[in-house]
Amino acid sequence: MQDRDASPILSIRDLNVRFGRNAIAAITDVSFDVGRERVGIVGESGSGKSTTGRAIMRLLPPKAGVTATRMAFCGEEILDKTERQMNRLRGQEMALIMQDPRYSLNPVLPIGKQIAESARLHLGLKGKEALKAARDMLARVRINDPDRVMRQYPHQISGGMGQRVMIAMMLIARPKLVIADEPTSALDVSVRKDVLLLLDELVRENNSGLILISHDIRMVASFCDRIIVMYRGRIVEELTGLDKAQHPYTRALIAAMPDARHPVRRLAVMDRQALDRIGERVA
Amino acid sequence: MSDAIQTDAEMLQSPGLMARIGSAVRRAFGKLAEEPLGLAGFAIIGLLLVVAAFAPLIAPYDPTAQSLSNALQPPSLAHLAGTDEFGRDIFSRLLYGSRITIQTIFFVSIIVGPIGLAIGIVSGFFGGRTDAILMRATDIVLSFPSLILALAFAAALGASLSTAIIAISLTAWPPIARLARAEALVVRNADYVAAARLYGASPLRILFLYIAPMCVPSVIVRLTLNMAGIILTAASLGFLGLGAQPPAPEWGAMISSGRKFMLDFWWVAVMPGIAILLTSLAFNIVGDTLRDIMDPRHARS
Amino acid sequence: MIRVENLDVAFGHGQGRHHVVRQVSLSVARGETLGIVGESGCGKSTLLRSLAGLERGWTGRIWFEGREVGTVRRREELKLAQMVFQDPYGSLHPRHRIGTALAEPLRAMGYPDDRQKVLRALRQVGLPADFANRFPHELSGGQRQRVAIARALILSPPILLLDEPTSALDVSIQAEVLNLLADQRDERSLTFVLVSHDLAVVAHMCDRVLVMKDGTFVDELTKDDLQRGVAHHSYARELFEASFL
Repeated sequence: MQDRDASPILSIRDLNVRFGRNAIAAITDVSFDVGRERVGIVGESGSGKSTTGRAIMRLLPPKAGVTATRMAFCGEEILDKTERQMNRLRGQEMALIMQDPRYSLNPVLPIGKQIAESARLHLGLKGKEALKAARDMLARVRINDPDRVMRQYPHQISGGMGQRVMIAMMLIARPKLVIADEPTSALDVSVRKDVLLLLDELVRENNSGLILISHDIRMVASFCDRIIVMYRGRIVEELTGLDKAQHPYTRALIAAMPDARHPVRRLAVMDRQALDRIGERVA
Repeated sequence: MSDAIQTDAEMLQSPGLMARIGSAVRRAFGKLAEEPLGLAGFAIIGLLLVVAAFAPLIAPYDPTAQSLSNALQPPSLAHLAGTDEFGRDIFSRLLYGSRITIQTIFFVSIIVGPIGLAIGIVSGFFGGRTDAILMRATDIVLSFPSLILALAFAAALGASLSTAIIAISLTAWPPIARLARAEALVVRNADYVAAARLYGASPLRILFLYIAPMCVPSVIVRLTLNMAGIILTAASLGFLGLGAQPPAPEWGAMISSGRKFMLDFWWVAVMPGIAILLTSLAFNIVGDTLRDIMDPRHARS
Repeated sequence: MIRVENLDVAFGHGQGRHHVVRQVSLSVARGETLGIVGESGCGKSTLLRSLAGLERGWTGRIWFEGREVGTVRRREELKLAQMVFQDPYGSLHPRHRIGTALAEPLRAMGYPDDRQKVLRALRQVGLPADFANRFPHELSGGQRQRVAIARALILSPPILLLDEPTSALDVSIQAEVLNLLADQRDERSLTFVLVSHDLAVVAHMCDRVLVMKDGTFVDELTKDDLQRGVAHHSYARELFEASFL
């Protein structure tokens, strides 16, 4: 047990993703490890943060060329697995929580059935047992009236509730790695915190790893042990706190956020040309 | 900022119309190159247009010249598609028949497209009672079997190519109108229409400059797909003797007159049949390709 | 500049009747920026659309520059307030070039076609003049939002209504657009009403913030309150805490 805890759940070296043959690189030389901790990946749209998450789950379309010198999940190479092995892995060992629960839940099945299906697939439970597991899981994600919600359809519940249901469904098999891709950006401000806290609690309880992908560097900072900042498909910086930011991009990102408690007349604006020059020198 | 000012002078005029069209055509061809099947469809239709335009030059014989000594000859080098019961060269008749087909398609599209589009967008944009009245009218026309209505119409006005065209047009607009209405319903709630309302654009302006341009591509696609059906309806009317009158080489009429001899002399009916099949297939393929090119929502992954 | 008394909006009838805005009153001084925060479905967007004249089913009274306006606006009244929408991908006509999009308000209002004015408007929002010949799909989200702002300002309205103008944009682009809005406000002494769910954005832009919940205002915060993190109502406090995690 001690041994396994020390080794990372996920270890990535030189991950590259290209779309199409003549190849715009979506991700270039991305390397990081995830242990039993919370790691945040921060970046703006087009930075490759979501593509990274999908590459780990092997959910990218076939035309995407994914290469890596190593992409190991619990010591096993992900890229060598067959599609069938991946299917078993997804949901059971690693889970993906997406932005909008309305699009990730099946609209014509009651919620209870969907979670029970997940329990049946990944825990091998049958009929009544699966339904009971689903009910327990709904109670675990602090849904007040699980019996009623079990019978409801996705369109009958709110966004925050939907995201709880998603979390219940994804975490019922106690996956070792949870990837949450902007799990709160479709939700109202006041429920965001609850959903994040819930996610955190369950991940800690299962002793698994969490990758939180978001554009909101402050939210990630207050939540994760480590922050990976991505820009144009590359990791520009890895840090443990906002105050430790060194790279000009990270600093510019933080400065560009309005802060009610420290008002400024004009917000700091990113000098993209300067950033690109730095990028070229690094490359 | 300095280069912005520099470019000002040249940007005072928008680029020439020719340049715009040129770039649009280049883009369309680029996309088309990725769709070999679509390209084949366009090629067939292009061929059809060329054939129709130059029929007198290409055709080896006069399509109406009878030669009873040569009646019902099988396909040979002299008569590529054989001859019919009056000894007329079927190949030449097919070439001339393409003129009738193109004419039918052209006039039906010219009539049906604008009418369907106008009824559809007015209905979708204004909504309420206008919508209810126009859509019930559409439903009524839609519930007539088109061939029967065309039959009745052709019977009342006398059989000729122009009554066939009018009859087909009468029954072909409702699907277009419904499609345009569905598009207009979506477009009218778009933010850019809301913005146009805010800066005082009149309803007619919004209708023609904002909503219609968004509905035109899908209407064109639908029209192209409909053309196959139009060809078949026209051929059916011709077969029943209600379209173009003999001795005009209308494809449907050719099958009709050939059916008496079909068992012994297959080419008399099969050759025009192949022409109808190829043309309507080509229009279907072109319609599908146009949809992929003009409407990114239907793009294949 | 803006005065609203007892504005009330309800959709539907009978059982399905949905009361979205309930007897709301507010006033905004010339040159002031008023923020309205609230969560989805609280009625803030409906309130703004009623002000703009897009929502016709309201009751109550609205004055712009001391002139009362009704549900159906005349051209002169439309010129008083223009709006910038949330989604930069939906607010520009996909088949109109940027130059056309900017000239449309002028044409619709019956002014002569003035390409110089269009180019000037583009320059004012920091875009090069050759953008006039581009289509919206050739522009990024931030550039589109700049065009939308230019279009709203081309009729020189004294009031600008902003419906989540930056919530679809990246943080760094958001900063640029917010700066642009602030510059235009100072340059033209505009009056803003800014609706957003993001308290940080509202706090940055606004002199005064109204907190909306279930169709009514539950709290009013001054710039000072925001800086010190003071809220008077429990819901506003909740929003505060959630916004500054």
